[in-house]
Amino acid sequence: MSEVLKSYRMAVRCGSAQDPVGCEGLANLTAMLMVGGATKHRAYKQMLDEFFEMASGFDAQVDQELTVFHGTVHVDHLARYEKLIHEMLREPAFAVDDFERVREDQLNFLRVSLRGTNDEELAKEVLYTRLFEGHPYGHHPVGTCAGLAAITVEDVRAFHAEWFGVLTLEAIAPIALPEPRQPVGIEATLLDKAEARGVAMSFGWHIPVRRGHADYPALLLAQAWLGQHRNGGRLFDQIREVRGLNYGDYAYIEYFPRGMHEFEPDPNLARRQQIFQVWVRPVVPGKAVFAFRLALYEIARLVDGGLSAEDFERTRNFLSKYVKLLLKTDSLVQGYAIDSAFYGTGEYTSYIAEGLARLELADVNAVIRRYLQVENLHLVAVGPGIEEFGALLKSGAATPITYEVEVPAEVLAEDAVVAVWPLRIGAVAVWPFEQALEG
Amino acid sequence: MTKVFPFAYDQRDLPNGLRLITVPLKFPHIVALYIVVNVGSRNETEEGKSGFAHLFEHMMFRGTEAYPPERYDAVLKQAGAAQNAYTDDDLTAYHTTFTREDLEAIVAMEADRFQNLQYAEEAFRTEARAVLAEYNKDSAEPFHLLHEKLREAAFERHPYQHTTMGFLRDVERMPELYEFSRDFHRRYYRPERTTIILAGDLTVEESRVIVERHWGEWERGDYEDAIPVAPPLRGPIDVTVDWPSATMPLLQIAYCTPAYSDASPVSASLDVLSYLYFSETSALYEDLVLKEQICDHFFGMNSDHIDPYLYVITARVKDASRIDEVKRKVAATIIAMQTEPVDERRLEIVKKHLRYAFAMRMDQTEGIAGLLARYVALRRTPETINELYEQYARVSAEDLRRAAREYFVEANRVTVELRYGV
Repeated sequence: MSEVLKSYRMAVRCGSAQDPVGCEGLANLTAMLMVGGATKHRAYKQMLDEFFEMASGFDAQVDQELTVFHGTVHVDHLARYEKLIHEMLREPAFAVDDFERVREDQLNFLRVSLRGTNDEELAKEVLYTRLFEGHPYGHHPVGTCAGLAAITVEDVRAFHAEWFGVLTLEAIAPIALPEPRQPVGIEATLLDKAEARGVAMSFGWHIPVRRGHADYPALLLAQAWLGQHRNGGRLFDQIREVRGLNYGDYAYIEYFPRGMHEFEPDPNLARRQQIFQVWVRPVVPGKAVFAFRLALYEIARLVDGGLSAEDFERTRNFLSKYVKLLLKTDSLVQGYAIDSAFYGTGEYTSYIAEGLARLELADVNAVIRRYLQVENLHLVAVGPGIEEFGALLKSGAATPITYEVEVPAEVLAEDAVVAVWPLRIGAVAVWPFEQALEG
Repeated sequence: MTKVFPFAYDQRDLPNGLRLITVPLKFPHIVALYIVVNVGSRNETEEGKSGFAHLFEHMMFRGTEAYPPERYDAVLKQAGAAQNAYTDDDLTAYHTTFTREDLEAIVAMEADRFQNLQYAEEAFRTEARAVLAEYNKDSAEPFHLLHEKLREAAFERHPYQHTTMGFLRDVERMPELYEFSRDFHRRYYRPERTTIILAGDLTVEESRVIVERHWGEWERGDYEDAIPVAPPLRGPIDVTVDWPSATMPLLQIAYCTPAYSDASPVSASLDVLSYLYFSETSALYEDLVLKEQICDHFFGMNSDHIDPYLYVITARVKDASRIDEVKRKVAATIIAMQTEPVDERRLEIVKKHLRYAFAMRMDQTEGIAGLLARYVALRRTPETINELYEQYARVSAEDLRRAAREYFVEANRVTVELRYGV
C-alpha cells in the first residue's frame, strides 16, 4: 500500500460468455484492442511512449463474466494518466492495423503459447471447455481460432458500443446461465502430443458452490488440505514427495488460470458456475494412469474418512492467516472488492475469516461428502502415447509401478490398491492436440 | 542525488560471516524473509554435476531431526505463511512471507534447516526424480531448448554453459550422487555465503536479536571455489535448433558482456541501450512489431551476473522466411547504436522511466525484499542499488556509444534460431 501510487480498476459484467456464436473471442479482442491500440487522438506508438515515460501501463483481463481494466501510476502523473486511460476506454480508434496485429496475437496465444508450448494449461483449459460444452462458458476467454478468424473490426466497434459504454459492475444485468451437464462416469478427452516428455492431466466436475454459498468456506478448507499451488497439501505429498511421480499436484474450487506462473490467483475471475478441479503435473507416460488413479484414491479416502480434527484445525488456522497475505497492494484490494460485489459477500478477508471461524469438523466432512466424488468426472490428458493411455483406461487393467529406490512397505501396500483402482470409463475422445481450441 | 532506494536499512555481519539486512517498513503486519545463498549454477564446475544448486533448493525442504517435513509444514501452515524458493546462475533464494507475530518461529525454523539438514538416500533419489519431472514439464516450452543451446554455444568452459536445471544427461544421473549432495551442502550452505533479508513490520533491534539467537552458532565454512574464467567468445557463432512440431520461429542474437558493476558505467549503459534501441518504445520495435508486424515479441536486455554473461536480443518471428530480415534490421540498429548520436531528450526520458519504474516497485513488503535479494546476490549489499542508479543518472551519450562499439561486435556474437522442420 503506497502513498505515492494510485491504482485504477474498472469492471463490467461482460465477458467471453457474451461472445456471439461464431465470434468466440470478441469480448477479449475488444478489450485487448482498447488497451493495445490507437485512440482517436494518438497512435498506439504514442500511447506506449507516454506510458513509458511514466513507467506505467494500463491492462485488461477478460474472463467469462467479467472484464476488468486496471493500472497503477505514480501520483506525479495523475492528470496525464487519467487523460490517457479515458481515451483508451472511451475513444478507442479500432484502427485496422492494430486490429490485425492484436487479433494475430490472440490467435498465436491459443495456437502457440497455450496449445503448442504449455501442455498443463492446455489440459486445464480444455477441461473447462469440455465440461461447459454448449454453454456460454464453452470456449476459452480468448476465444477459438475459428471465432477469432471470423471477427471483423466492425464487430469489435459494435461490441464496444453495446457492452463497454458504462464500466461499472451494475451497468449490465447478469446473463442467464443454463445448468451444465455433469459427466457420466469418467469421461475423457485425450490429446495426442508425440513430442511431449510427460502426460499433463487435469480432471474435474461441476460444483454448485461459489463464494457466498453456505458451503464455500468448508469446501475451501477441504481444497486447501488437498493442496493449492506452492502450498503443498495431501496430493502434493503423496504423488510428488512420497512417490516422486511429478513436480506437483493441486486442487481448486475456483478458476485459476496461469497457475504455473503465479503463487496466488488473480482477482476478477469471478464466475457463478465453478468446477472442482485437480491439476496433475506431467508424469512419465508409463506411470500416468497410476498417478491419475492415485489422485482419485486420495480424494475417495478423503470422502470416506473425512478430515481429522488435527488437520481440520491446522488447515483452518492456515487459511485464516494466509488470506491476509493476498491483499498486498491497493490494486489487489480493489480487485478483491470487485469480486466481493460480484458474489454479494462482505470484504474478502473478513468473509473468509468469519466463515472459517464458524465451521465445525462435522460440517466440513459433510460438505466433503456432498461435493467430492470420483465416479463422474471429466479427465483431460495431453502427452505422448495417448492412444495407449486411453486403451489402458478403458481396459481397467492394473497399472502397477516400480521404484528406483526402496519404498516403505505401507506405500507399496497402498500402491497395490491404487494400481487396480476401479475406473468406470464413459465416453472417451482422442484428438490430435492441434484440434484443441480450433472451434 | 537522492538515493533511489527510499528506505533506511541496517546491515551487519555476525562473527561467523552471516550478513543480516533489516529494512523496517511502514506497511502493517507483514514481514518478508529472504535467505540468499551465494550459490547457483555458476558454482557447478565439476563434470557431470550440473544442476546441483537447483536440486539442493529441493533438498532443503526434506527436513531435519527437529523439524521433519511434516512438522516444518505444520509450522508454516500454523503461521499461514506463503513460501517458495528459486535458483539462478548466481544465487539460491528461499523466501517466506508471514505476519509479524510469527517472526521468531519462522526465523528459528529456517535457521534449523540451514544448519541441520538431514535426508536419507531414498529421499534424495525420490527428489532427484521430481527434478527430472520438472525438467520434463519445462521442456514443452521451446524457449527452454533455445536457451540451453545459446548457453552451450556461448560458454566454452564457464558453468554458465548450462541452465540452472543442468544438462539433461546430468539430471538423469542425479539419483546416483547422494554423497556428492552432502558435500555440496557442506561447501556452500555456510554463513559467509549467506545473507538474510528481513523486511516489513519489525525493528532493527528485534531482527538482530532473533537472528543472532538462532543463526549465531552456525559454523563458518572454508571451501574455495575454482570457477574457471571463460575464454573470449570466438564468434560469430550461428546455431540452428530443430523443434519437433509447428511453432513460431524464435531468434536470439546474443553478445558477451562484462560482469555486473556499479563502479563503472558499463552495466548501466547496457541497460539504457536496451530501452533506447530494443524496448517497446524503440524505433525497431515499432518497425518489427507495430508496423511490419513481422514479430509478436521483441526485446533486448542485459542480465546482471557475477561473471561475464550475455546481452540477448530476442524475437518471436511470425514467418520463418523473414528471420533474415529481422537479423538485418537488428544489425542495422547496432550500427546506428555505434555511430549515430543519441537523442538527448530520449536519453532523459529513459532515465526518468528508470527512476519511476523503481519507485513503482516500492509498494509492498514482499516485492521490496525480493528486489533486494537479486542485488544482494551480486554485491551483498542494498547499496549497490543506489550506486547503480547513480550510474544510470550519469550515463552519457559517449558512454553508450563506447559500450555499443566495444561489446556489440561480430567476434562477440552468438545467434541461435529455433524452427520447426529445420
